[in-house]
Amino acid sequence: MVGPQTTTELSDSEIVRKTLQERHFFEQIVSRYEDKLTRYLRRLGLSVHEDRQDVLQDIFIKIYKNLYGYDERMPFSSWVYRIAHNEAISWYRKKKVRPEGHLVGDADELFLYIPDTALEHEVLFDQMIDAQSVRETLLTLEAKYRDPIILRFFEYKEYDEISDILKIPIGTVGTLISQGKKKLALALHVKQ
Amino acid sequence: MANNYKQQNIQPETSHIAGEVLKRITSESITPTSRLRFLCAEWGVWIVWLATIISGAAALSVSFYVTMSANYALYEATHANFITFFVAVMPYVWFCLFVAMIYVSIFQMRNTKRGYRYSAWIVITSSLMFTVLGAILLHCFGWGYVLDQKLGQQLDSYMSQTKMEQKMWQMPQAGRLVGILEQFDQESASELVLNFKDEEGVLWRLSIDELRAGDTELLIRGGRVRLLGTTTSEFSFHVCGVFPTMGDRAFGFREMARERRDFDSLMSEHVRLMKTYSGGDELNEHQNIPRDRLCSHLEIMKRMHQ
Repeated sequence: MVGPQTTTELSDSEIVRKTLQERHFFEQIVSRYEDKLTRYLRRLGLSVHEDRQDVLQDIFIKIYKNLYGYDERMPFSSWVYRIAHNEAISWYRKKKVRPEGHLVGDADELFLYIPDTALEHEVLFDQMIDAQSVRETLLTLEAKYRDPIILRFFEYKEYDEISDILKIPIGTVGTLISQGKKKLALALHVKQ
Repeated sequence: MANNYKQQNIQPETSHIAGEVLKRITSESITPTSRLRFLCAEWGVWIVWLATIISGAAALSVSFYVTMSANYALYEATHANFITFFVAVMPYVWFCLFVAMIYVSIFQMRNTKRGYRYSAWIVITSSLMFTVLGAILLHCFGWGYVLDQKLGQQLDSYMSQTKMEQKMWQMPQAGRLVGILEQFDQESASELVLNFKDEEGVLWRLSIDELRAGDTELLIRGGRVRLLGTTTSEFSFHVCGVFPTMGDRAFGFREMARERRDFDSLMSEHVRLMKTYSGGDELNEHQNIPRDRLCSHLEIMKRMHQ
């Protein structure tokens, strides 16, 4: 049996292979992704702790069930995020509710990416838009713009990872982020 | 900066979720779905994609066959112009099937493990390219024709090329007949008796006064042929041209081009006769036109040389 020190050094793919031999290794996967996915679910609008816990459990069960379906050409984290994203969407569909996100704090950082010119940058900052406002505005965006923006600016994913998570072409990721930023900036401007 | 925000604002939810998940896995006896199932699913998607490409190619190859050999050579004989002819013979069902298959193949490709990474244009273009290549290949091997014929034989509602040809050419009142020469009396060559059975089983007595030697030969050879001419009385048909049926086999471009040349030369000959005709010859009792000049007065002549 491999000790805890050793398992932390193992890559995700190696842990997947070990989990398929011995179930208890799956605990490592849960530990590695629990916080990340919890944050991601909150950003996707799952604001109630209990709901989030339920969805999180379902995500990990789904990951476990589908371990043989993981394609090693793709980063494991992208595959995990894809499952999490799909589960969150399924949950919303099942509950027939709209996202109520908690994009706390990180929302300010998004402004750094929104303006296309220095002037717009300053205008936006001058208006002192708070995180609450960004959160509300971002959640009003269509999911096709909102999801790539969350993954890019809150989860710090690269374009190819976002492509793998959302199952869309890389070029489309860039387009959606660019258009989403403009829509968000416009919506914030109108709001102010 | 980003990490600071995360640390400051996103409180980690310390939970015993790992234990809960493992407990659930044990209590519900959850096991990873077998690798074989994923392989089957992935291969299934590719097989369906391949099947749709083949179906699309088959649809397009039949479209090629129907469009290119749907009596193209003689469209003036059946329609006012090429556009009305094309609208009538265009294989709409196959074309719709082709479009549907392309759509399904694109959808299937997007569902493969990495298919979503390619832009819509790459997926559409590659699917289209494979389908067109497949269609050309099938067409070259004559599969478009075979498929069209088989479906025509199996399905009453399916309008195969043979049925289409029959529909367009079995119109005695419009001067078109399709069928086989039933009886040829060679002994009395001065008074040729030619009995022709059309597709509906009606027996026609043919007059071939204006028929060229080649056409007469084709007619008496006894195969299934198309006749262009005019009815002179009940069950009497004055033949101006004889053409092989095209629905019976897949015609190549060369044959169609030859057919077209023959048709043009036949029509030109009749036009020449029409221009030199000054009247006063033996007259046809129904139309007041000499028997050996009937062909030059066909409606098709007027259409072609307006």
